[in-house]
Amino acid sequence: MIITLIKNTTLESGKKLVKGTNLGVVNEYGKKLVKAGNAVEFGAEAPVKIEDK
Amino acid sequence: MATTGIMNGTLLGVYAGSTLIAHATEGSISLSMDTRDATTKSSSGSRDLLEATKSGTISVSALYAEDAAYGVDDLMTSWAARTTLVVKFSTEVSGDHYWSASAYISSIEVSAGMEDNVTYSATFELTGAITYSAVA
Repeated sequence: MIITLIKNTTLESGKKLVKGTNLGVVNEYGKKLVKAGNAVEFGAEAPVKIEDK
Repeated sequence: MATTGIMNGTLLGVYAGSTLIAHATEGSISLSMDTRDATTKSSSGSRDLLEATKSGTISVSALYAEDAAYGVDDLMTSWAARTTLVVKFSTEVSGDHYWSASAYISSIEVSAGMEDNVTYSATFELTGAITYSAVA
């Protein structure tokens, strides 16, 4: 799957990638990054964080 | 759902670790099995063979970019450390088949022609069992 990083992320390999990077990853790893809130599936909008006033 | 019809080669990518090798233009897998010559005087003039070791390589060619999400820099790390990494040749489309195995990087070639894209190719020599299965 292709994902877009929504946070600066250090990959399993130790490589640091910046927010906004698009990259292809195996599905399991992509789902893990999405679940952790580090990425969204390519083309999807990043979740909007609603802050308390 | 698995890909239908004659597959477009663009769909199949080479993944090193969990990451797709970026800016790839070509990918391939080559599998083989050695054989043992078991020909004897009783073979009636025909060659008899028995099975021996299975092996394989995965190769990739790509355009070189310093800021690639996975590129020469990452391959060099594994090559220099002489460590194995998991390589996968896959579409990552559910139901499609993929090949995966541990591998050593046996070659990296970088080519820089005048007024042309810098390109590179890498070969992964597979070690241990080679998995051929369907993407979950």
